[in-house]
Order: sequence, then C-alpha cells, then structure tokens
Amino acid sequence: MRRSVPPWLGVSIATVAPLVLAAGLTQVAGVADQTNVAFAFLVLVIVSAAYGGGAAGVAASIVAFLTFNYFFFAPTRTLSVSTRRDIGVLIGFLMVSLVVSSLVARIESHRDRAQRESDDARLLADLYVSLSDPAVPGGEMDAVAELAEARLGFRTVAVVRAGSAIEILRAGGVSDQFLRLAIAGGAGDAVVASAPLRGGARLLLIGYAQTRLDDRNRALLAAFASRAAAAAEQRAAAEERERMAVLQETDRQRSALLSSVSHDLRTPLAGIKAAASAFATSSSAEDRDRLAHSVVSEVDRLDRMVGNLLDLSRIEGGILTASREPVPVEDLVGTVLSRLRQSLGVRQLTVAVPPDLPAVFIDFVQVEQALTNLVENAVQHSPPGAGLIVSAHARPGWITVRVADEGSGIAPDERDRIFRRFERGRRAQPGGSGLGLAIARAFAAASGGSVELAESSVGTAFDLSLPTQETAP
Amino acid sequence: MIAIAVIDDEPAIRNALASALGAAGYLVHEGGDGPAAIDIVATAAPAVVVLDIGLPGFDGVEVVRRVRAFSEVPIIILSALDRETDKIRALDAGADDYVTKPFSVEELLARVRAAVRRAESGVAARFRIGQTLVDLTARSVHTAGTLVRLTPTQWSLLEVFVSNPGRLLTHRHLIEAVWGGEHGSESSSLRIYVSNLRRVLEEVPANPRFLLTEPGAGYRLVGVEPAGDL
Repeated sequence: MRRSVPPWLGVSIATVAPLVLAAGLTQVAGVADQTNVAFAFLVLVIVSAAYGGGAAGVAASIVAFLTFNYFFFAPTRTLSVSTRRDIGVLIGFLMVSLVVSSLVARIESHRDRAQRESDDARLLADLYVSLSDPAVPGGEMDAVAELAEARLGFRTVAVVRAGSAIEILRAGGVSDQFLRLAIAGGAGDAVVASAPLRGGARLLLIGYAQTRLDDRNRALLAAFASRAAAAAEQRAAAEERERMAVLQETDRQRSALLSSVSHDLRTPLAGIKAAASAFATSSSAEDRDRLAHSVVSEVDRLDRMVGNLLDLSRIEGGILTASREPVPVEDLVGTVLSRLRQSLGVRQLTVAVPPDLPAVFIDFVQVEQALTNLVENAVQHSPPGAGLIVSAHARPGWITVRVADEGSGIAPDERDRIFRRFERGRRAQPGGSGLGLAIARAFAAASGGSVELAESSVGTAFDLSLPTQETAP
Repeated sequence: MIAIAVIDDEPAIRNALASALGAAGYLVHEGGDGPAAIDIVATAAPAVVVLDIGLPGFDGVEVVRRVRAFSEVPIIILSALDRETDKIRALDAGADDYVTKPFSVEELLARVRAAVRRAESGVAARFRIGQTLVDLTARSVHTAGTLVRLTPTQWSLLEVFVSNPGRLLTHRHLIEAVWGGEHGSESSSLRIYVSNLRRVLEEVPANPRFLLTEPGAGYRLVGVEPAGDL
C-alpha cells in the first residue's frame, strides 16, 4: 500500500509545506516570478493529494492560495490584491489546484481500493485452501485461527461454538473465563465475529490484537467466521454420512449373517427330518440302523454349529473376558485330544510335546476351544487315514502349538480370507460353518496369543502361539 | 430291579431316556420339576438320579442341595452349553457327574452304570491304571514294575482320584480334599500337580488316556480296575 501517512498527519504536513516552500522561494531573488511560484505550489498540491489524500490536497490548495497571495502579489505581505487581473490569476490558481488535487486524490484512492480488494481476495482464497485441506485432519478451526493470526494482525484467535452450551473448539491460549467474558460482550479488547450454525448455534471467532485494528480487519474476521462456520457444517455433515455408512454396513453384515446362519442350520435339520420320517416307515433293521446313525451325525453337526454361534456371539458381544492362569501345555493338548478321541478315528496321530515346557498363561476354557477348533479343522479337511501332527515348541516368552494335517491344503490367495467369519476355503469339505478359525483366532487373542497359518510342504499347518507370561492381550 | 429317577421338564428327553433306560433293564421314575424330584428321591429311593438343571419350581442346583440334606444317591446333571456356571454350582453342591446336552444315550448309560457300580462297590486296596499299580494300604505306586516316588501332596491327590474312579472331581472338591478347606486360590497349583501325576500315569502325557481334564469343571480318572495280589 502506498498511502502510509495517516490522514491527520497528511493534512498537517500539507498545511505547513506551502509556508515553508514560500519562505524558501522568497529568499531566491529573481527566480520567484509568479509563474514559477505557481508551478511550484501546484506540484506541492499534487504531491500532498497523492500521499495525503483528498483532505490534504484541499488543505494544501487553500494554504498555497493564501501564501501565494500574501508573498507574491502586490501589495506583498498583505492579503489584499491591487488589480483585477491579479484577482483572476489567484482565483484561477485556486480552482486549478483544487481540481487537480481532487483528481489526483481520486485516482490514488481507486488504486488503493483495488489493491485492498485484491489483497482481501488473496487472503480469502488462502483461507479457502487451508480450510479444504487442513494440515491436520479435522483441524479446520485451527487453520482458520492461524491464518487470522498471521494475516489479520491478531495476537491470538479463539474459536468457540455457542449453542445451548459454550464449547471451546480452540482456546488459543486464552483462559476459559476470559473467553466467556468476551462472548458476553464484557471484554473490550476482544474482537468477536460470529456466524450462524444449523440448529440455532453460532460459531464465534474471538481475536485479541496487540494494537487497535481498523474496520477492514474486523470485517475480514467476520468473513473468516462465516467460512469457518461453513467448514464446520461440512465436517458435521461428512461425519454424519460416515456414521450412516457404518450403520448400513453393520446392518448389511447382520442380515448376511442371519441368512447364512439360517441356511447353515436348515441343512442338517433337513437331513434329520428326512431320516427321522423315513425311520418311522422303514421296516428293515439295516435301514433303521443307517437312518438312526445319520440322524445322530447330523445332530452332532448342528450341535457344533450352535456351539460356534454361541462362541461367536460372546466374541461379538464384546463380553469376552479371559480369566488367565498358568496352564501346562501338556494339559491343554491332552484335554483337546481326549475330547476329540472319537472324531480322530483311525488317523495316524503324532503328539510331540516336550516334557519340560514352561506353562502358558491363558484362559484354559477359551484356548482349549481354540485348539479344539484347529484340530477339528484338520480332521475335517483331510482324509480319514491321513496323518495328523500336534507338536509344541518354545521360544523366549512363547510356546507355539502346531497342528499339521496331510489334507488338500489352502490356496495361497485364500490365506487371509479363511480367518474371516463364514469364509470357507475352496477345497474345503462340505459341512463346516466357516466359523471355527475365526473363533480360534479371537479366543487365542483374548489370552494374548495368536493363530497363524504356518509354512508347510504337505497339507495345512496352523500355529497357535501362547504367552508364557502375563501379557496384555 | 435297579431304579433310576429321570427329572427333566422336556417330555421328549424324558420319553427317550425312559425308553432307553427301560430297554437296558432299569426301573424308571419320571418327574418334571424340582418338587417332584425331591418326592421321588424320598419315596422311591432310586439308585441314581438323572437331573436337568433348568427346572420349573426350583432348579436343579437347588434339588442337589435339598437331596444332599438326606441322601447320598449319585446325581448325574444334564447340562446345556449356556448353563456352564450352573453346572459348576451343581457339582460343587454335591452332584457326582454331568452330561452336556445334546448327549447320546450310550454316553448317559455309561455314566449311569459307572455311578451304580461306584455306589455298590466298596473301596478296594489295590488298583491298576494302565501300566500303573496303586496300593492304598502300602502307600506305594509301581509303573511297569518300577517303584515311583511321590511327594505327600501328589500321593493324597492320587488317593482322592483312585477312591473316586470314573467320577468327575471339581477343582474345589480336589483342593478341599488335598489342601483342606481354607485354600481358595490353589487351582493353578492343582493344574501343576495333576500334570505331574499325569507323567506318572500316562504313556504320552499330552495325549492322556486315564487322567482327563474336564474343561472348566475339574478332572476325572478313568480306566481304574481293582487289582488282586501282585
């Protein structure tokens, strides 16, 4: 900005300057004829109008007119004029200098306004940029306040949401008490700009400046406030959309789960119904045996499924708490194997658990279920005569129990998918619920452990890793 | 004829059990609620009670408590997956065993037979468990002919197990029997002692045949046979 002189100073200088100039010119004899002096005064008036504005120009014009008259028109050193011609010259000079000074002042003020407007536009553009892409996600209010501090001359700017309660979004180092005072209108040094929010609340920008600010900065702070309010509304709307999307996704998953569960439960039920109704009409003892056997095995399948669903509901319900205690690994492995002795059937079972392993620190019932699921999974996905190896080994702080089968294995692209609920491998035998591995993983995790797919050249191997010390799950 | 009481509020379960137990040669008394259970035990003096936990009137846990006030009859609990804590309460109140619903009739019949046998047989002095020979009078344990040294705690634990062959022993029952009533938090050391005992009794401790863990409930020593002289 060119005009750096405050108006009162401009007028003062413009008033004194013609006197000084006249005093100077009277000392230079010969040069000071009326034409030269008139030009000198005119230049002075133009400079005054350019730098001091319209008022300074007018002041310079009048003082120059009087001084011109006083020093350079006969009779000199008086304000009276002797000839008509002199009166004409003086009035002409006054008119010309007034017109020139007002023209100059108007040009200058246009230039200033254009400059100011382009500065403001740039500032608001910067504000827009920093709002649409804040340095920190969700940091819109900080961005507004920081820009106001840097460019509007505020020492600090606080952001407050005033609805039914006062919510301070950015204190900016100002105490709660001071902010409340400023909002109530009782702190004279604070500049408060306000913009409406939805639902009757208002967003307030409260600026504290070192020096008094002009109206322009106050107006800009108001513009900042309305931009900030718009940004706050946008963010609230985006959050609402996100919440809705999460709800819809949960809803979708829940109905997918329900339909999957109903289908999975119906399948064994259909088998039971068919076998039981055939049983009533069947006459051969051999048929009856076969039908009764099929009812029992379908019920077992149904029972496993319901057990899995019960486990799943405990996991999903967030009420899964592990009551952990030291458990010998032998006890864990032994319990699972004796429980599954019947379904293991004629499998070549190899158990390799070294006798002196440290105890693991786990919830026995949950981890026993996790290991049961892994062994059942191995049994289900490998042929009856195939081998099954359950082994354990220690590394510092951990015991890993490995369950390795000689089944069809898991395709490389399915290695992550199989741990999700209701997901089953492409090579899986029919009859599973797709829940066993997800449950195993959740139960192991509740005791601070993990279930991972291990590298294996034949079939599939899972590693159940369990902590030997009390670690946070 | 040996009498068995079957207490369940589900007619389907009662029918199935009555028919299976009847076919196995038992006399069956049926009841559908808590008060009926007490009546049957008091008047019919059954050899074994098969008792559901979720009953109208008062529940199975309460039945166990009231029956234990006047009778030592073996009680087998029928428990559902979602009533785990009630199952433990019933066992701690004095029930002898449990079967989880849904169960197979063979499974229940085996438990009933074991309970009848336990009630009838007195405590023998010598037992064989797989390769291991236990002599309660001489306080000695031999595995495959070799004398095994046990600590006093291990010995009293083994004594409780062989005196209750095939019976489910809850953590609390074992802790009270071995350490006395005052110990409350011995369940993790109980695990360690059972594990040590398993190394004596089992060929492959990680794949036990005799000393079995019932997850969340307790332990059971199976395959115990009375043994004659060496």
